[in-house]
Amino acid sequence: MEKINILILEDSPEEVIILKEILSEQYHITGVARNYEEATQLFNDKTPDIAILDIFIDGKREGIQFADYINNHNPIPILFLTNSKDKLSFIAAKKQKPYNYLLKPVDPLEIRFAIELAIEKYVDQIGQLTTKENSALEINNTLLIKKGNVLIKVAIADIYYLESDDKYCNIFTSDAKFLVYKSLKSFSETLPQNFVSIHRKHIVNINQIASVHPNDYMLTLKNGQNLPVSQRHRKLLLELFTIIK
Amino acid sequence: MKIINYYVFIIFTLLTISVFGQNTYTETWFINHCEYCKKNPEDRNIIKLGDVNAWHNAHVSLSKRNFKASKKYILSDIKTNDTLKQLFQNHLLYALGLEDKAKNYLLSLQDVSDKSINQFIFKSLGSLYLKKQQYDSANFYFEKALKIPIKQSYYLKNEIAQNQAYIFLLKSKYKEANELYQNILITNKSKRDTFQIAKTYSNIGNLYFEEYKDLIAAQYFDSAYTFSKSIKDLELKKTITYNKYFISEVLKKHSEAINYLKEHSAINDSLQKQNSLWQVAQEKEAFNIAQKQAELDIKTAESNTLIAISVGILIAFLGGLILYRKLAQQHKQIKKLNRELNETNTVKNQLFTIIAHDLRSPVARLKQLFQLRAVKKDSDAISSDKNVSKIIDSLSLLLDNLLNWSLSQSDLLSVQKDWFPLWQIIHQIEQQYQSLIEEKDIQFNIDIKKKVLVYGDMEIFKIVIRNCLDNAIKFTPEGGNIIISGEEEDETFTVFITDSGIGIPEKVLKSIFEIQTNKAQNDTTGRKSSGLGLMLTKSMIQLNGGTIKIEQNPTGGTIVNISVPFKNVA
Repeated sequence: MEKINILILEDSPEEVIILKEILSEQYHITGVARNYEEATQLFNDKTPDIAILDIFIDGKREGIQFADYINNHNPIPILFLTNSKDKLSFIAAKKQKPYNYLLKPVDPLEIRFAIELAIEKYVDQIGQLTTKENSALEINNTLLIKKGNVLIKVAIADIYYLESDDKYCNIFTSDAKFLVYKSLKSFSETLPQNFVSIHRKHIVNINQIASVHPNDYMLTLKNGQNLPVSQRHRKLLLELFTIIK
Repeated sequence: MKIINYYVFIIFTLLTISVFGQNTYTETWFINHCEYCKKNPEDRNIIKLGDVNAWHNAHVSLSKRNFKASKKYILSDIKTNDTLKQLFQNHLLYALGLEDKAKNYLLSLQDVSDKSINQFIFKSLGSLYLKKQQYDSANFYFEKALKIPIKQSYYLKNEIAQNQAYIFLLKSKYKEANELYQNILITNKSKRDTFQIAKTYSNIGNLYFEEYKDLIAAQYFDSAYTFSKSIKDLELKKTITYNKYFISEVLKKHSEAINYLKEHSAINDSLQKQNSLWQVAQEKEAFNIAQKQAELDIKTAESNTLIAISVGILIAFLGGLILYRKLAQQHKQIKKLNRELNETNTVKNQLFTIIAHDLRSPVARLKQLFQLRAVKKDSDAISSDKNVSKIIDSLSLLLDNLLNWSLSQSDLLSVQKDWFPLWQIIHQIEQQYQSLIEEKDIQFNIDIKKKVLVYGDMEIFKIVIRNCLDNAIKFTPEGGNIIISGEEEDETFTVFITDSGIGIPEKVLKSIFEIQTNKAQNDTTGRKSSGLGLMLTKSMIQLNGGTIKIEQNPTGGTIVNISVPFKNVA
C-alpha cells in the first residue's frame, strides 16, 4: 500500500513549490524534471503512475514531446498544464491520447479532480473515481482505491483475498483492509486468473495460499489466517493448487 | 474547429495542388497527346472546333477545372483512340471524387502494351490509393510506374517523390521523409522550378513542425515564403502565408503573426475574386459561342429576316452588356467593401486576443503570488489579501471572457469534447466563489446526483457555469438563496440555476444574449454589468452542443436553464 507516484515536468520554480504544496499530502511526488532530458531520465528510473506536464518548457513544446515519449515507451495517464489558452499550444497536444489539460494558475480542488479524471479516462471508465466514494479502479496491474480524498495504490499481486459485503467488498493485504464500493462479482470478472473463488463470500489470490486442508474445508494464507472453502469450490481449488505447487 | 481541421490538412492542400496545380504530370501527359498543342505549343485556350480535334478543348477545360465542359468536349471527340479517351474520362471521374469507379477501371486496364499508357495508369493508381489513404498500395503502384523502362519526365519523378515523402511523413518516418524532400529540393532547384521549390520548402517546414523542431520549421517556412513571392499560384501562396502566421503564433511573435494573417486573408480574398472572375469569363465565353452559333444560323436564313434578327440580337446584346457592366460595377464595389470589412474585423479580433492574452498572464501570475504567500502561511498578509484576491478573481473572469469571446469570433477556440462529472465541476466553481457567497450570507445548494456525466468541453462548460453563478451572486441580495438543480429527460440533462435575486425585466430578457450597452443593469451593490458574460455564455454552450434559456422565477429572481447531452456513470 502506497501513494500514487507523480512525475512533474515544469521549469518554473514557483509553480513547482505550489504543485508540491497542493499535492504532497495526498500523492507522492517521485520527481520534478526541468526539461525533456531530465524527464526521460526520471521516467525510466522512478516509473511514475501519472505525469503532470507543462506544455511549454523554455518556449519549446517539450511537454508534448515528452508525452510522445511516454506513449511510445510505457504509457501512463498524462495531465497537461498550460499558461496560454489559445488553441495553438493545444493543437499539437491534441494528438496525445488521452488528452487532459488544466489552465494555470492551478487550483487545489481542480488539480486533484483533474488527476483522477486523467486516470479514469486512461482506463476508459469516466466517473468511477470522481463520482464515487470508496471506489476502486484497476490500472496497469495495480488497484487504485479512493479513501476519502486520498488515492491508495495496491499492487494486485499483494492482495491476499477479497470478501463480499453486499454491494461492497473488503480487500485484504498482508497488513491492511480496504472497503470498496464494488461487488465481488464485478471484481471476479476483471481480476487476473490467479484469483479464484473459494466461497460465495471469498475470492483468494492462490499465490498467497500457504496450505490447503481439504478434509476441514479450510485453507491457510501466508499470514496464517484461515479461510473456509465451500464444498462446491473445493475440488477446483485442489486441482489448481496441486498444479501450481 | 474548422480552422483546426484546415491546419491539420495543410499538407493535403499541398497534395491536391500537386494533382491539379500548374503543369502536373497528368496534364502534361494529356498535352503530349494533343495534335493541336504540338503545332501551337503556346496556345492553351479553348479553340473553335472544326477540323481540329475536340481533345484539345477537353484537356484545356480540365486544367481550368471546368469539368462539365471537359466532359462535353471529350464525348464529342471522334478522332482520338478509345484508350486515351477512356483514360481521360477516368481522370474526370477521379477529379469529380468518384475514386472507386476510376480505380476499378484503371485496375482492369493494367496490362496495356503501350509503355507510356502503362506508366500513366500506374501513376494514377498510386495517386488514387494515396487519396484513399491506402499508403502501401499507393507506394506499390508508384514504384511500378517508376520501373517502366521508358524515359521518365521531371513531372512524373517529382510528383511521385513528393507523394512518397508525404507517405513517410504520415507514417512518422521523419528521417526518410526528410531525405526524400532534400533530394526533391535539389532537383527542383536544378530545374529552377520556383513553384515546386516553394512547395518543397513548405513541406519540409511541416515535417520539422511535426517533429517539434519549431525553430528549424520556421526557417523552412521562411524560405518557402521568400520563393512564394515570385509565383502566381494563389492556393500555394495562401498555404505558405498561413504556415508563416501559424509558426509565428507558436513562437509567440504575435505582431509578426498578425501581419501574415492579414496577408493570408488578402490572398484568400483575391483567390475568391479570381474564381468569380473566372465564372464571369466563362459566362462571357458561353455568350460568345452562342452568338457565333446564332451568326451561322443567320447566314443561312433569308436576307430580310437576317436584318431583323441581327438588330434584335444587337439590342439584346447591348442591353445585356449595359446590364452586365452595371452589375459588375456593383459587384466590384460590394467586394471591395467586404474585403475592407473582413480585414478590419480580423485585425480587431486578433487585437482582442492579444490584449486578453497579454493581460491574462500578469493576472495569473499575481494570483499565483498570492497563492504562494498563502502557502508560506504568512498570516498577516492573508487577512489583508482577501479583498485583493476577490478583485483578482473577478478580473481574471473578465479576461477569460474577453479571451474566449475573441477566440470564438475568429474561429480559433479549440473544443475538445468528452464526458465529465457535472456535480464535481459545479462544486469546484462553488468553492471558488465561497468567500463571496459567505460574505453575502447566501444560502447555496447543489441538488444534482453525483453519478451524472455530461458531454462537452469541460473548460468551456466551466466558463459558462462561472458566468451564470457570477451573475446569480451579483444580482442576489444579502440573505437570499441560489439553488443549482437538475432534471434528466432521455439523453438531455437540464441544469437550473435559480436565484432569489432582483430578476430581469421581461423587455431585457428578449435581447439578453445580444451585446448592447443600454441594457446594462445595476447589481445589488449598484455596479453596472456589461453583459459580455451572458453573450459569451450562449455561444459557448452552443459550441458544447447544448442550449441556454433564461426565464423569470415566478417567486422572484431568475432561472437559467442549461441543457446538455448526458448519461449516468456505469
